[in-house]
Amino acid sequence: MKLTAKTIAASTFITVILTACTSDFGTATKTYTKATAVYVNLEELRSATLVAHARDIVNPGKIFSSEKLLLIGEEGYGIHVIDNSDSQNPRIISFLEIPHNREFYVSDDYIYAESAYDLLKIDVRDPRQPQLVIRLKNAIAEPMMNDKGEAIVGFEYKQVTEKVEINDDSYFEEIVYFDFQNELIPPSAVPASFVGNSAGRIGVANRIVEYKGYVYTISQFKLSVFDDQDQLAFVTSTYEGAGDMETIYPIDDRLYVGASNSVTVFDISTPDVPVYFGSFSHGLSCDPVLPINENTAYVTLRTGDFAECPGNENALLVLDIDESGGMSVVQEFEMNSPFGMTLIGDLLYVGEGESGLMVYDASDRRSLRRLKADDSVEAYDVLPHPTNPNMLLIASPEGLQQYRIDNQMELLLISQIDF
Amino acid sequence: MIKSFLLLSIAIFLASMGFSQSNIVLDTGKMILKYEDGSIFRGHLFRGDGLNWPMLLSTGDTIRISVFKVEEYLLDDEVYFFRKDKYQLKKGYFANFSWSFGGGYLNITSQVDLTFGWTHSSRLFLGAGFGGGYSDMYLSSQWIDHEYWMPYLYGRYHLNDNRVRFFLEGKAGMAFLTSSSGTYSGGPYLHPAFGISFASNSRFKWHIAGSQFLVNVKGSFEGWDSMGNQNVTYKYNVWYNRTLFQIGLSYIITKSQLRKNFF
Repeated sequence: MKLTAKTIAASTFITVILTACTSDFGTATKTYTKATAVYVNLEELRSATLVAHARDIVNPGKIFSSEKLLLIGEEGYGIHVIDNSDSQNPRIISFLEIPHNREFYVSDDYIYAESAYDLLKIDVRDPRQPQLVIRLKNAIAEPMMNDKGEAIVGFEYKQVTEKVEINDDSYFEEIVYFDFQNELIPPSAVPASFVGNSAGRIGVANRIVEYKGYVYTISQFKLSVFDDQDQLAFVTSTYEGAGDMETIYPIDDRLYVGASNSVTVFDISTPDVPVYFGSFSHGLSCDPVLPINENTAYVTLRTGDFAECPGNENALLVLDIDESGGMSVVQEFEMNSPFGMTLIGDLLYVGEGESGLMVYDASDRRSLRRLKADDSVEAYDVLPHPTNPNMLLIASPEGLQQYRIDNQMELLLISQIDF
Repeated sequence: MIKSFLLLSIAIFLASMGFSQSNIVLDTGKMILKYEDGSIFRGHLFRGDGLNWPMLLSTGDTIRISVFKVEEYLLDDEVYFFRKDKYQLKKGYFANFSWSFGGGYLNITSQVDLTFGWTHSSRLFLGAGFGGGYSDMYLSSQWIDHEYWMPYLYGRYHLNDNRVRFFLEGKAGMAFLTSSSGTYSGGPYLHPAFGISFASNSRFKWHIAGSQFLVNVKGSFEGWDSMGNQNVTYKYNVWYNRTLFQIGLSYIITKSQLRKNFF
């Protein structure tokens, strides 16, 4: 065979053409948590009867306490109404059907509760006859509808293993991914926590609060304001200042927002126009904020082997807030797994989940001193009883417990509502 | 000193060809001789008395070759001769270096191989070598790449004995991964090829080929996917199966040259 230019050209052409051939084979899988959208008919959801028969507490969420009344949220379904006139024998008397509710807040015998896209105001001056005052439709977000006219209200998550096509270029197709929980109010990072009590004490893990006639709500990236001086009405929303927001706390014309990587403060001296005041950045963590006064706040940072706040930083921080909104750490305590906290007198109680309850001397608000670590109780969140200063309410993995505190700071269990 | 060495070399060469120290005139066969001054002679060399041997040229003329002045020679039974002094290896040793590359816009493979071997017959070359390279594949928006090296056994069978030799070639070995994401391990390596080798008038020969590159890789890694899911665990047990373009350069040496140069 003679070597000719044609031979070389043909051979080269064939080999170059062949180089485009890729036919990898074998198996490839991916295992992940698959989100499947959950749709509901909003009209059916909105037509649910408000007051229903009492039912067992299965998956508790937010807790509100007054002298004679306990409200315990049932995650996704509504609120249990509990007669606590006899604190040694609390009794469930009814259930408020609020579909897709997780967060609520109580102020002056009114409940402000979210129900998927809506914000509800419920009159509970007579706990046996709660009345829906107003349903503000689509107050939280504009509904996303499917072809059947149903609105998405969340996702169901399930771990799946699926086959992956090798070298499939269809994966290049542009996919619009929208995390709907950025708009709606997502689940709390604290399994069971206090809304507050009738004495005006506010919990540290709220996503809805009321302050001076205005209601503030936070979703993951949006702070919304509602005017409730006359009739509840939407005012404004802002995405400024914070991302991945988790908790909100109003005090002294300021709104403290705890996010997974920061604490952000808004000036709400003009309540319907929150103005960014300052922020403090920290590592990724779940972080309820307890502002004490205009220049001091306590922050707990909780991380662990869970999706919301992965990491290994667990601490209690004392923050200094200067006049210009700058924040810095003045004291830090290493902790195991801090959730909620409350200040009772000069004592700061911090729930550490299954690791117990920590007590600090806070007589000097900016120089805490660790007094006691009580691992006999498990505590997600802590709040004082609204009328009895010697009683402590603890939300634990087992249920809601009411304790009496003796002079040695020992806790004496009075009653428990099992979850 | 150099001349003494050359003399010794020629003597060894003659001995290797089975000549005895007799006066029998034997034909070495067709050969090419190269003198120190660059002169090249082609023809049949006959052993003669002393150090000046007769060479019968194709014209029918006979010239005398001074074995002292011979710097290089090629023998008919060790190479195939072609025009313009080009030749191909028939009997001897070789070292091949090749670069194979290819793939699509989603993935690429690049592979270099270095092979050492000998001629089992005039057409069948055997050897062993080692290679190294890089490949990647695309899984649901994630590229996973692998770097590896592999020892292998080698065989090449030539389909003809012409100036352009067509050949079938194969490498078989085991790939060891040196770099990837997550956990990973290699597996069997197969690399058949079909190509052509070009004759030249030096010891270096170019070749090109189309090859089929197969390597088994296994592993798992964490990533995301095209749907925006985070913390996705990928597991794979995949054969890279890619048609590559190969270009290579061989260094060949006949047994006689090897003896002359190194012994």
